[in-house]
Amino acid sequence: MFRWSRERWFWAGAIGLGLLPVLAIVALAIFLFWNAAGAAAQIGPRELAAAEWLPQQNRYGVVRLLAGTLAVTALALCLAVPVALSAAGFLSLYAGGKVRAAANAAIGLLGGIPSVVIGLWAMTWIVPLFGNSWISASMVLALMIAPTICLLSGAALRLVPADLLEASRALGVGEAIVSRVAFHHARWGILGAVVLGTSRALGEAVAVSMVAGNVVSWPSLTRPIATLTTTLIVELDSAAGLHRDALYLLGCIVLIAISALSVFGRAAQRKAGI
Amino acid sequence: MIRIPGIIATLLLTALVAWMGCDLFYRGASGLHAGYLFEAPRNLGRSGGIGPMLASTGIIVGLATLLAGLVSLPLAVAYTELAAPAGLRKIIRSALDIGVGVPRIVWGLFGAAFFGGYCGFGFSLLSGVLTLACLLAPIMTTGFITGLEMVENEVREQCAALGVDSWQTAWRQVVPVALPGLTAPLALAAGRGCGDAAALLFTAGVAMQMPSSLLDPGATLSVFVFHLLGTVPGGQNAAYSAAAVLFIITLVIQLAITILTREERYAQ
Repeated sequence: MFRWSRERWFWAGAIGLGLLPVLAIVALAIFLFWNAAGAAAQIGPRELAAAEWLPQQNRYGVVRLLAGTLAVTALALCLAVPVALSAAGFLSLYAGGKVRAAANAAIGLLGGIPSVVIGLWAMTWIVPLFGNSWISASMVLALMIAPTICLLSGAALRLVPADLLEASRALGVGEAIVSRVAFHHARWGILGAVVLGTSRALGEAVAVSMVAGNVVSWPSLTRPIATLTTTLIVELDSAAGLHRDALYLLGCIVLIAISALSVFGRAAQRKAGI
Repeated sequence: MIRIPGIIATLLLTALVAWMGCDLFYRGASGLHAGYLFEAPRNLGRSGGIGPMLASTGIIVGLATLLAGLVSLPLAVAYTELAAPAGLRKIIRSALDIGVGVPRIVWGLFGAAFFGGYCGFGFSLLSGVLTLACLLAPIMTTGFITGLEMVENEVREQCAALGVDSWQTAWRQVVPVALPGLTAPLALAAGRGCGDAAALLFTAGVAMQMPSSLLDPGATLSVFVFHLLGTVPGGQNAAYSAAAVLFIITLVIQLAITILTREERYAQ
């Protein structure tokens, strides 16, 4: 009887404590939805679908912010994916163990560098060349998501069975086909990596806000741009009342997009056995 | 086909890290001096040291990692060792996947409103610790689950064959065997905490004084750099020095992670 009760206490305690992180996520979602719904009801659908985000005049159209976010993320992906995937391909298919370990450590370091430090570096080197602009923001994001995509898709490529590659080589099809075989076999893992990189890009606020210029406008490559997250970080300090609720609405939009991407990206990774 | 561009891409990414590190030290060197790590900042942070910020970083990141670990390990153990219904496991799994993805700034919004406003902690280390713990818990749990799942099932089967209770199997056998795999998520979480600015900016605040209690505000090193660049005119040189210290911290943590694990999955 005593043993039974110790067993029971242990698991009750573990589940009780373990529920807390799950509850925190649920609380976050409820809190954001609640405030966002209130803001949406007060602002009205027509005003939300407008282009003007002018909190001083109580105008909260989110279309330009959405366009800015999509534009910055899309260009960042165009810059990061080719670099990340070719590095991952080289490191997993051709590089020796020591080279791979050293390069992975360096790339992991790049991925671990705090956003403010990346932002500071970008203010020094990228902004003087390209100004506070869409292209600067995308370059910074590309720098931050390339390590994620590279390491995660590298892990997927490493799961390709060696005999599959050896069989391809034995057929004498050439290295181009061999790498195609590998990438095809790892496609779900690579898709997961790119999707998770995208979700990281959507959520990044600090580094982007340091180089984007944060002016709400239609995207133009060399002009300042604002995204959902940069607007949050720039305006939250001074926002009150409806303005604050409207910012919660922006946070809610980001959260929904990122939740969908995270769940899908992890599902793709699991399908690949990562 | 992929070899040449792959080599170029790898060199590019590696060179960028080296470039960043060297650049920070080159530009930040003027502000680094004996006692830099311990002195108080002067002139709104433009000169002087980073003592209070280092203390706040240590307190916030240390406590948040501890707190997150205290709830993440039980969750991970219950998730891997108990036969919960498949539906429930799926819900927890999805919640964790979403939790890992929730952006720092969104946790910052929540933390400022809930811990800062509703709980009445205001801008304080405590608000920061709780917010950061919320942010770190899903990351750590996911890492812990990976570590626990790597323990071979033989361990569990042998314990079951010997008639050992499930809690003793979990606590005395599975967790100790998995211990090396459980340290990497801790290092990863500490690194995330040190690098965080968005979640702490609106919860722990930007104060540069040495905190005397958990209810005092205090800027971490990352928040300090962000604050210097955003609101202190002429703060750029001091920002380089502080960023150089942040870079070293990141480097040490990344080294620890590399040594603790060869698994790239932790790198996300």
